[in-house]
Amino acid sequence: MTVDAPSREIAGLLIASRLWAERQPVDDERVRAARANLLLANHARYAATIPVYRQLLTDLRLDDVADIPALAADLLISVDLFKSYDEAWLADGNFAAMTRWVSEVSTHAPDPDLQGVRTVAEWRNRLRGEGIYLGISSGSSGRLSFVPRDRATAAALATNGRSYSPLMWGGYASAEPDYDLLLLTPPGRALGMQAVATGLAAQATRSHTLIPPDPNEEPARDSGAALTATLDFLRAGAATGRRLLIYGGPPAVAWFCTQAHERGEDVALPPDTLLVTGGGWKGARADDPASSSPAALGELIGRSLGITAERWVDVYGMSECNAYLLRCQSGRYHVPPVLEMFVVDDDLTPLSGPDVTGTIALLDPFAFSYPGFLLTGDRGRLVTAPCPCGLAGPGFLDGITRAPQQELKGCAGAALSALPLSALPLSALPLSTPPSSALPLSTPPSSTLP
Amino acid sequence: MSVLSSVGQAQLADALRRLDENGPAVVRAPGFVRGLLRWPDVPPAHEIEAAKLGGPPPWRVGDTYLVPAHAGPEAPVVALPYAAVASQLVEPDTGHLARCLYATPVQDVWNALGELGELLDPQGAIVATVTRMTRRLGIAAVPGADILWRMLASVFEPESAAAAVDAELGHGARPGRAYLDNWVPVDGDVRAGATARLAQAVFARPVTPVGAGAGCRAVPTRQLHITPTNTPLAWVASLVRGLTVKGSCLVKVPAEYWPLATAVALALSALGPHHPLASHTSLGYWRGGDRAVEDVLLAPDAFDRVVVWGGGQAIADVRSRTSIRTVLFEPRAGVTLLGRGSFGDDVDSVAERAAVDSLVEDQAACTSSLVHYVEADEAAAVRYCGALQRALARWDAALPPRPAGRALLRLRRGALIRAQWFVNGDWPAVTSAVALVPHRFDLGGHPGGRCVVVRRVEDLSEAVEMLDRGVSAVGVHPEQRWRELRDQLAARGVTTVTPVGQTERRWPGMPHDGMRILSELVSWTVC
Repeated sequence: MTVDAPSREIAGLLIASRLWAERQPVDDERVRAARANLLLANHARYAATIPVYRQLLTDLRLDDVADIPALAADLLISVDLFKSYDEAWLADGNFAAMTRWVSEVSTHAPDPDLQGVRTVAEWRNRLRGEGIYLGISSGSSGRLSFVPRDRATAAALATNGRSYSPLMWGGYASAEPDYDLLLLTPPGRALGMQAVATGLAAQATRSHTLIPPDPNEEPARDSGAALTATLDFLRAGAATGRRLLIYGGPPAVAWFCTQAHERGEDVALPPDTLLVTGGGWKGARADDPASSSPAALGELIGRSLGITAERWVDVYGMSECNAYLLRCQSGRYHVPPVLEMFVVDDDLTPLSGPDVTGTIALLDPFAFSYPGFLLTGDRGRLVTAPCPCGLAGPGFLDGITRAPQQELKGCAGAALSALPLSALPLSALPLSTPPSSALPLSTPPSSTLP
Repeated sequence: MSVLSSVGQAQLADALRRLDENGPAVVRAPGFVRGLLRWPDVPPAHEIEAAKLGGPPPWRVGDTYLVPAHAGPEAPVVALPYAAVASQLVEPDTGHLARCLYATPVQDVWNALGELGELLDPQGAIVATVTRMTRRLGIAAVPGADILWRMLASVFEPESAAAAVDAELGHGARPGRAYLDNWVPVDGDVRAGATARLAQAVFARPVTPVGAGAGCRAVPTRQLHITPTNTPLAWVASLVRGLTVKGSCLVKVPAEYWPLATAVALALSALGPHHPLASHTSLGYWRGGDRAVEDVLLAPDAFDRVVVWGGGQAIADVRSRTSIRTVLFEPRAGVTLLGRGSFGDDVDSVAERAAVDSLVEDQAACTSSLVHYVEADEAAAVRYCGALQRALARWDAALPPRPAGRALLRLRRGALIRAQWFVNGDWPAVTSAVALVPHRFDLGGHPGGRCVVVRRVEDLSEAVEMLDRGVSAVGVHPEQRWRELRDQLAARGVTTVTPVGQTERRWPGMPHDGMRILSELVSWTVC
């Protein structure tokens, strides 16, 4: 890594992560100190080189941020940062404006030749020439997020997980690849899960992709032939005795399990088959519990594919973060030492305690080129009690969900103005008293109500 | 003359006593089902505690719905009756309805509305009892509750109901009320159909005389109202609209507004269980999307109209599950268009007028202006933002705002991180804000409250092109531009186009969301 970050701390965190994953003792104080040094160095870099970050410091009158609690309390930035561009620029192919946007939200100051650039892919390639690795993800809104990484940050994204992930130790996607890969998500170059799929496919001996039908398509397209081809792929692999890795989102895996089970055709998967799911549970189908519940999916994969709980790993991550969380068999997503994670309340105040629920936030010491003090769009329950699996440190329990989002208002207020009623006399409006809409008579947040 | 029955008054007196007897930990509040108050059971404490662990409120234990009285620690719990037996909420006998509520002179119904308004007077026994109870629960500490109670009573005002009916349902010289009570003879020429005229030739007999007895009537309907949570009186307004046209109404009440609902339920009970209005009105609590309840209520013959207010998801969900005719109040928003030259000598005057459109219901109303498009150069836009900030500051001083909350913070630290901000108060305790944004803004991300997004454009036509039917109201300045743009804006689906500062104006019978609502709530039937 070439970034001017404390390399001793970087190495220390990676080593600590490896030890942590092996259930060996880790000096928590030193880990915390290493993270703090990196994060404060990042803060200084952001302040010096990221215009929107500098403006935020000015507006919030934060001249001196001395420690991590201050960062967490005052400088969390919503992941909306990564889509704070004008959608019209993309629609119009105005990549000059998009490039200027990159320079406002990151440490980069790119000046690529944009002659002839017409697509996002072409723009991305030109930025690559400037040393910018642009990650892309599409959220539930459909609006693309762009995460501009420099070489160091991109390297961290590619390698951090190796320090604590059994996926790597098992020889999958490592330097000794010898496995078949069944992808239940399309490979791609930039989008989060699809990029992972591309990486896995590149390392695999053989790979096969099965894309489940879109549940919103009516009628669903015939997937019988594709399923037959997939089962043939699995049988052929089983005959060689080669290991198998299955990768996809939980709803896609649930669909595949159900289809395979309904076919009634026996496919004896290799005993060390590994199932990796990721991408969250937000594509869940209401009529299929296995697509929305880890417990139900675990039962389904055991029944239909014979994959045991210890051979299934669910991953929680996000495209803006350079590490991910793995779910253990006890249903906990463990925070690795390379990350600082916590939850905040509705006022964005960090919550402390052994068992707290709120919006998930993180401080990513490896986000060298963009603000890595992030407020996610997810809600979770964070616990610190020892986990039966033996991993130490905080972890999120099953049930990470999308945080309630602000939605455009129903036409409620106009009910009064459009009603066949006389206007409320102005004398009824006591000055120094908030108007009606500010005054629910009881106060559970509306977002949690039916 | 009062329409209250002795049975109703006894029911009310009993209810007032029961409310006063509520204990400090769990409070029982009634629902209302076709003339009768319905009280919830109180689950055992351990079941309540277990339910709390199951997720955010409201919680359900058996047939009881539970909400915390307030957001503080150790808050008392309010028990409400869950609409577990949904079939009880459906009118079982339309024949009876035709003989009872539908046959009641509409003036009598309006008189009953007036009676309800008097019962809900802030100085009356019902409001006094409910506020006494809420005060015990610590809710009355919320400032400004008084104004809600005063507005609640006014919603039932019968004169306005009559004026709206006459305006919306009337035809020619005939007032609307005539169509609600009777078959109104058709004025003018009534012609036989083509088949009848053919029959004259086929059967060689004269055509049956037509015209005699031909008439038209606004037949009341059975209505399910699924109401929103964003303002406390919207569900009441929806109910009163339905009652105004003699509708048999079931209203899904947002659980957090249970004190208001308790008061309305008590007032309805005072009419007595056999009163035509009360005996065909219900107030229910259930979780939105509960299939056990809603599959019954959304069945094809359960109601004649489903009135749905709310967010896009709620509306789409209901639409996908019912074939009943729906009246939709979709999520919409307002904007402001300020043409070149608006900020001549008195930018403050324009800013104050524009602020009025943005401050409607503290931006919780679908007509509140969230974005001001200004046709100006950068310097003028900045000057306007400063003026708007000053106007909002004066409003803040007169009418204290609710805290900006996380949504505004998220905006500042996320989607609008590149904006130039003009705020009143200090972060994070900002009371109102103006954000001059350098790019388009997704209205769906607006936090409400007192936050105005300002976008500079070279020509207002750029802004006009961005508007669609998701925009309900547009205030325009100067007036000449209003006259020039209103046809274009209307053609794009905007349903309220006024000079700036006037988007909240109204009159009896005024169309809403492009509809004459009362007309949508009756079935226009001919004879």
